[in-house]
Amino acid sequence: MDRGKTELLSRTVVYFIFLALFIGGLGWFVFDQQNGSSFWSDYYAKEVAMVVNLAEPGDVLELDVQKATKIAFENGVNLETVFEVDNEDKEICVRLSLGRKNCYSYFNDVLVESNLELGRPWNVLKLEFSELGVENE
Amino acid sequence: MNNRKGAAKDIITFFPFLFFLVIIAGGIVLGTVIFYGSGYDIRQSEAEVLNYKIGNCILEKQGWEDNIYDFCGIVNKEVLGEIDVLFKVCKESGDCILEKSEEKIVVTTGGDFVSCGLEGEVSEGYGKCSIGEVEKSGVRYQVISFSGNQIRGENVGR
Repeated sequence: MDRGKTELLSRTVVYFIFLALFIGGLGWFVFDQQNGSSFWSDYYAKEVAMVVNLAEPGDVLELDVQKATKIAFENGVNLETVFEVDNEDKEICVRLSLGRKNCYSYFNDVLVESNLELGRPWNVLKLEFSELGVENE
Repeated sequence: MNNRKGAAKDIITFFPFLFFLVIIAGGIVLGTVIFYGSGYDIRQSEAEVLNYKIGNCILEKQGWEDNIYDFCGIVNKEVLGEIDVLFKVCKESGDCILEKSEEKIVVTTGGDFVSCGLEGEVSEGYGKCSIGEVEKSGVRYQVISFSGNQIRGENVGR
C-alpha cells in the first residue's frame, strides 16, 4: 500500500473513532433521560414534600409509588432505600438510580413516619403524621 | 514540505467535522432536556400552601403573634431561610411587599419580597409568591409567602 493510501486510511479511522464516541455518548445521554430516573426522582421528592406540607398530625396517607419502584428496581436500587424521610433536616430524599438521590425540603413541622408497602396490589408509600415529640404507636 | 501541507489540510478538514458534531450534539441535548427534563415546579403551590396555612392559623389561633412557628406548625426561621421559603405578615398595610414600618410588620422571616410585586412575565429564576389577606376582629392582615425551594442532588454510595 502506498503512503497516500495509508494516510487516507488512518485519517478515516480517526474520524470513525470520533463519530463512534459521539454517537455512543449521545445515545447514553438520551437513554439515561428516557429511563427517567432523574425526572421521576425529582417529581416524587417534590410530590411527597407537598403532601407532607399539607398534612396534619394524625393523618395517615398512602401514595401510589409503583412507577418509582419500577424504575428503581430496573436500575438495581434496593427498594428499601428508595424513599427516605429525614425528620431532623426536614427533607424527603428519593433514590431511583445507583449513586444518586434527589432531596427536597418541607416546611410543615410534623413528625413523619414512612413505610414502603409492596404488592397491595400496587406498591404504596404509607405516611403517618404525628406532632413532634408524640410518636405513633 | 508536502507532508506539512498535508498535515495542515487534515487540521482544516477536522475542525468543520468537530464543529458539526458539536452543533448536532448541542441540538440533541437541548431537545432532550426540553422534552424530558424541564423540571417539575411546585414552588407556586408551595407558596400558596404556606399562605393558606398562615392565614388559617391567624383566623383560628389566639396569640399566634408571639411565636407563629410553634402556633402554626411551621419549621423555624433558620430552616426556612436555608431552604429559601419566606413569609411576611403585615397589619393594616397599604403595600406589605415594600412595607418597612416595624409597627405594621407583625412577623417576617426576613428576606426580599420585591420580586412578588413584579408584573408581567417574571423570569423562572425568581421564586414564586402568593399574596393573601385575612380579617380578624376588624384588623386586616396581609400575608406574603415566597418559595425559592430547590431540589438538591446528592451523590450516595452504591
